[in-house]
Amino acid sequence: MQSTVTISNVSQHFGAVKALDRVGLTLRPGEVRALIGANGSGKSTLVKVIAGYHTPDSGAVDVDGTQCSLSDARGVSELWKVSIVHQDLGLIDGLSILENFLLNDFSSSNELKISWSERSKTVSKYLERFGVKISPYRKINECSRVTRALIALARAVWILESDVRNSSVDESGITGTLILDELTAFLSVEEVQLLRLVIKDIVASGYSVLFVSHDLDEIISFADQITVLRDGKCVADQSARDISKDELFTLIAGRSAEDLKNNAVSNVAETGSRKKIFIEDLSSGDGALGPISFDFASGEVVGITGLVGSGYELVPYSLFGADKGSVGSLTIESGTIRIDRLTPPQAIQLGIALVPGDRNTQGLWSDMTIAENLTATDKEQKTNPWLISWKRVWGRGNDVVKEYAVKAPNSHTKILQLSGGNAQRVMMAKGITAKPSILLLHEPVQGVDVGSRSHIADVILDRASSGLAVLCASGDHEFLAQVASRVLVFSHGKIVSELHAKEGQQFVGKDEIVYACQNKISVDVQ
Amino acid sequence: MSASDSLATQSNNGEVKIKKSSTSKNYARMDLLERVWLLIVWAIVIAIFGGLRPHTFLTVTTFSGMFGLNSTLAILALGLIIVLRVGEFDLSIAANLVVSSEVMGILNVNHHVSLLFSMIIAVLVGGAIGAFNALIILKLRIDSFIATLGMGSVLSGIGLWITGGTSLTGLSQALVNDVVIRRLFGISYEFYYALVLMMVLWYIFRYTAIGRRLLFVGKNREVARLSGVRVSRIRFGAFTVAGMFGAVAGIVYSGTSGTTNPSAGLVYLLPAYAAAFLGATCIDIGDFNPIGTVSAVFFLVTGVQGLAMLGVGNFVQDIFYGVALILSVAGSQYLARSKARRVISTE
Repeated sequence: MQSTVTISNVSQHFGAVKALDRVGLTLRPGEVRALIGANGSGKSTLVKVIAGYHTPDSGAVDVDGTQCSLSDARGVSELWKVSIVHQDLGLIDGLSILENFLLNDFSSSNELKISWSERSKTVSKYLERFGVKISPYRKINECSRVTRALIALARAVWILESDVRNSSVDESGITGTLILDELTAFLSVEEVQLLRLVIKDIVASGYSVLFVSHDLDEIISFADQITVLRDGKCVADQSARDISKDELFTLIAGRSAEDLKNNAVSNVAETGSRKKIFIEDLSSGDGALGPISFDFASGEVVGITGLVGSGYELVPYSLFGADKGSVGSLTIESGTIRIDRLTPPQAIQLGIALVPGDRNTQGLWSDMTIAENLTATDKEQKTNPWLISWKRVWGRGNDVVKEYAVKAPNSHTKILQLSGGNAQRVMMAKGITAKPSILLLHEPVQGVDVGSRSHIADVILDRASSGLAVLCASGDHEFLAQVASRVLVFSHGKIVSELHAKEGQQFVGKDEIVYACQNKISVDVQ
Repeated sequence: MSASDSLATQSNNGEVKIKKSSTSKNYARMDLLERVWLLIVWAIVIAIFGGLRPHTFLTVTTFSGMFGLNSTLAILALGLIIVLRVGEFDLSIAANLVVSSEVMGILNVNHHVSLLFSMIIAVLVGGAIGAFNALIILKLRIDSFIATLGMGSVLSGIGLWITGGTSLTGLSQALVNDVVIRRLFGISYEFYYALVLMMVLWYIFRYTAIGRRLLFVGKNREVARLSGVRVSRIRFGAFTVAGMFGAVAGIVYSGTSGTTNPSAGLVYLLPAYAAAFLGATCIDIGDFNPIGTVSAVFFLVTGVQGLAMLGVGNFVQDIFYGVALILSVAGSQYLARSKARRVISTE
């Protein structure tokens, strides 16, 4: 018989930071509870405590009147079983569905002969229950995104049900909960709807579900009860039926939603002499993005953002011709280019520069010197490809070191000797020395220090003021609020809103961006 | 740009400058020693063998032989570092040497094609084999190690097939004359061919955009792609040119021995790898480089020659090359790690 689980008084600190402060929630059989909060609010810490990854400072579980401290993992597991599906699904690509189901089995069991047929029957039964009509012998990488999510879900339910069965003293089984941690982030709207039905089916069989998400729409359509965390404290525990998105946002952000709604009136000063760039019907090969259309202009810094998995981060790579399978068209002064035929060398020729998101694997050769890295894109050095002047290479490198205030003795310094912020400056310089007319940025301040953040913001604004068109894809809303006069918000691969700087202000406000990401307010985008 | 200016002055503060002057001198001295360590060890090895066998080892004949008769290996190793520099392997290059030299031999001996024209065809065949390697690797998306391992076997089979498994003799004497008989400063011409190819590669690697792109692709293919380097084209070109070097090595081999041989060329594969990896531990440390490679060839050859003169059997060659290959790779790993440590200490 399934019972109500009450978790209470959970506190956890990391160093001086109090991640959770006497948080509690109740999980009733047959109910979906949503756990929501901004980044850093403590929701993933809470999930980890419940899953037993962290031992909390305090906290207890109560099942049917039997209490147990959360720090006693074995005691908890005798009372209550949990099974988690993480955002990354935890499936191994090269293995079959069946093998993925049995991963835990094999690591613990010591039977000599594996009875494949028997297990495959069980697994097939679970797959069918979740509407997956493919053979369990198929490999994971043959499955679509939503099928993978369903497989992960089926596996979690299978683990939960067998745990519940095996650990009971009588036939009734003990209480079980399924935790879904940002499961929907990479799915499209239609796929999310399919998932919703499946989850309804799970709770109908008597289990409770804890659903963690950023997305307010999903929360409201999935959940029966909502727990909101803010700064490690539980600020709301209420029914999902009579709550509006605005109320929910107010609870998450701690301030009223009213003054954050951005009236997306096109009040941009007439562009006039500015060169416009049009992007039409852009979509990525894997279907995670598009089709989308938008435009931007020289001298403008446009931010591109959204929640994790919304597809915004693909835009810079698609427009650079670096994402195979992307289609669409790009219209600049010199004409219209088909994106499916665009290659990075052509993009560079057209005056497009890309500063990718990962310094070490995409942007810079880490065991080469600053100056050598710069030669890859520096137009001045390409003038004589048959006699490179190293004096000029080092000299140009030293100029960049000075101009971008890179903390290095000289341009002979290797990239791996630099701190993250300084390497990022070199990567910006590498993009900009190509003298582009369009600069595409992906997470330009990821993992950099405060000084470099403001330096990079200054560089971006300075170049924009001298006519560069900048597209900045970033999940760092604070940074976007320092550079972007316009922000396009993505959700499930589409642009759902366009934010402009308020009158009298240069940039879009940070809270407006956060609000738009979580609410996906739809605004007509011309 | 006021903010940038203020940061620029920040970088001109004393701390950074002091760091620069105190470390750069030490680095320069250490750098030079590190760069030429192999030459120093080579000199020591010569001194040891010279001390042990002064009358046989320290002779003009020995040295003119060591320098003059090992260009096949040197040229093959030079071809190899072209593909190694783009981060690929070519295990078929020695079999390529065999096939291209046989093509030259068949044309020249059996079909009485002029020597020059036969040589040109041989080089083209070598290049075509390299290009075919590249096509397999690029189009079928196979790892170059596996693709060229397979191709190497295919090529040695072809090498046996087209000559019926026998050596071809009767090559034009002009070839033998210009490769091994004629000498400059007591050393056969072939030594200077290797030297010229080494200098050409050195120039290309160091002073041309194409040479830099080879390195860019080898250091990190994805970074190169996102920097606008035509990665596939570079990889294709590297395999093709390496194949041509294999053919040139084959021509020099035939010139040295006066024959073609369907199996003798294959033994050069391992020493060529040993030389390439050993060469990467000096001159341009961490990168496959022509001067280091050729130095390594002569270092290895000296070792083998000296041991032979001490009366150690022929088997020592194989052991010596194998040990050199393993030690040089281990050495370069160690250098990379010690460099990483130095980074931390300067931070």
